[in-house]
Amino acid sequence: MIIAPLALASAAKPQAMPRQYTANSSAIEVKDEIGRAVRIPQPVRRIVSLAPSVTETLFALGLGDRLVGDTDFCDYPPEAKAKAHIGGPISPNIERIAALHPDLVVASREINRAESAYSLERLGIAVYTTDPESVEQVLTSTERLGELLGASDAGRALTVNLRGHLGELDHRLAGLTPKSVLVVVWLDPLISVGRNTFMDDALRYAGARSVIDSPQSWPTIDLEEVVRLQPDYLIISNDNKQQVQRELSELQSRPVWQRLGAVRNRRFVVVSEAFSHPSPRLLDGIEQLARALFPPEFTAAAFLRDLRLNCATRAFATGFEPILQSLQTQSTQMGACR
Amino acid sequence: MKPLTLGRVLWSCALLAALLLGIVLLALRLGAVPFSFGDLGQNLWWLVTGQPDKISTDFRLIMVDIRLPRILLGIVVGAALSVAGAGFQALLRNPLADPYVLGVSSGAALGAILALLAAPALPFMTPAAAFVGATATIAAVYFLGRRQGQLDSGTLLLAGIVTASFLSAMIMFLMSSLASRELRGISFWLMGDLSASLPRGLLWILIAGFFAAAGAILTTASDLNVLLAGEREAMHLGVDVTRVKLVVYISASLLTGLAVSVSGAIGYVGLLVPHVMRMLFGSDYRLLIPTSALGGAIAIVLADTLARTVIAPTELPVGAMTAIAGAPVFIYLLRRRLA
Repeated sequence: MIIAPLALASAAKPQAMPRQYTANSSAIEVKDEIGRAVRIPQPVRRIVSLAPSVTETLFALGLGDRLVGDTDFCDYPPEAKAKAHIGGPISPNIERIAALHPDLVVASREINRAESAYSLERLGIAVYTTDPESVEQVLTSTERLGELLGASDAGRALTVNLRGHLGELDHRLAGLTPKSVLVVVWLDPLISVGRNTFMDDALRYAGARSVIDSPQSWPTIDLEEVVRLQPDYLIISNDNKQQVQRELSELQSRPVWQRLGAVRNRRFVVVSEAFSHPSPRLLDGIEQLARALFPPEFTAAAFLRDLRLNCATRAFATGFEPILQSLQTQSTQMGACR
Repeated sequence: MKPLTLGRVLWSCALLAALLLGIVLLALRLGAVPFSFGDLGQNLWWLVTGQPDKISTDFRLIMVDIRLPRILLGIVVGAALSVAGAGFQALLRNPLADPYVLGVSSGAALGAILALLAAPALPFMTPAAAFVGATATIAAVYFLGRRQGQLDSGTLLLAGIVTASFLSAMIMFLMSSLASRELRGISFWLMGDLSASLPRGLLWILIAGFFAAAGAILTTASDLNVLLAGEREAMHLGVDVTRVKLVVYISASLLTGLAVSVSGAIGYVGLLVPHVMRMLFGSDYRLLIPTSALGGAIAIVLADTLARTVIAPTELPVGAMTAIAGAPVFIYLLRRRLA
């Protein structure tokens, strides 16, 4: 990582930065995640986000009050909806962004167009583009953004916490056979996830494995191929419950889809949109999916089993054995009822 | 046909220029960030009279750095497309001809896609590669469209249409087989889009290219009037048909290539504006070319202003707006003329 603090001589090159920044005395020059040099004025007081995932990351870092604008699609956390909107991620309104006088615009390569970044840079507005392609990179990207925006401590605390969650999940799912799944990103035409995407990686953390192995990021899939691969579960990431219900019931009425065991047996897993955003919120999505795919591992019984195994003194645990036993029976019954 | 006098040319152009000026002022005033006409007038006065220090930073950023270059780009692109459309309609003697009929836009799109795939991080690559793609297509269609060493309208049209559909098929193949993230912007490109800002220098090159190519077509205007009666007749009247066709073909293609390289394939304007101008001002090419240039500029600036404002802050691609608004306006004018 190259972070070289530079004294910005405002007299030498006044036109390089918009006028409102000349009061600032310094800027740092960094490489963003797509390898472009970005000169970020310090401190960063006003941020505009061009993607829902970026908005979520900034809020998770505790930088929500410095966010002065986000996209029409930024709806999480709820505070994001109250920010000034700058249009959609694909066609953000450049003049609306400029009028917000941001110190920094944060974009995501996943959803934004490079042309938007060029247009902003030509106006002297710094644009930092994130590009996480795995769960690990979501964490490092978040931590790095925290460093650049003066929230290093929050970033570190957040990622330590999230890594802890991942470790716990990994421990819980250790030794289990991954479920084979088909992630339905889009239904008509059928679009799923490819090899080098954060979603494909997130599946692994949730104890699942995509039946699709494509070098394309978001490949269009032939349904015949899916019938041949017979995934155990269909996974849909969507917060609009009614839309999902409509789509699923329509799906079941289509003859070709009925050839899928997962469709005949209604093995659909609907997780929240957290699962399709490369932000710290992705971890929530991973956990939701893991819980849906492996309910026995997340019952009170499994929790107690872990607790029992972890108990330092066996003797201590044996004292509670009858209580544990009864709890276990109860929770198994509860699980069976579901 | 009324005889064409210099007075009528000037009067018609002045009328359209005044309309264009009014629409430019409206386009400057309207947008996601509101300004009043008072503010606009005051700041423009300071800008024109050379007192830039008094201009507020917001005004400079939004009006001078964002809206004005975009409006200028719209003017040049609209003028270029309409003049190219008028040129192709005469060259091919076909009222359905538009700037894209011979595949120039498809060649440019293919160039842009290859640039996006090869070097997504270089901002100048896309327009440059689009222009190279357009030029290569122009050359290919030229060689395919000759018969006995001369440009033949029928052969040229067929060669162009086949080239265009072949290139479109290549584009579809690349887009669906690669499904690369870099190609997300290409749908905007294929619809036509003015939102990406250009380096100032490129705008001047574009303006210079427009005046050179449109000027070249204008020098052939009186020959085109004769040519419309038929090639044989034109030849008997002493028109160098081969030279006229070559000049019009190259100039109109270059105008299209320039426009498409910076804004994508904005539809309808190049087809409809020349027809509208014929209805309003007659079909004499000496008048049709300047009025088409101004009319095209008006059409695109108006369409882009609507595209920026109807669902602000979300922007529509300007091509969607020209397609939605173009057809009804044209049908209205067509019916009114017939009535």
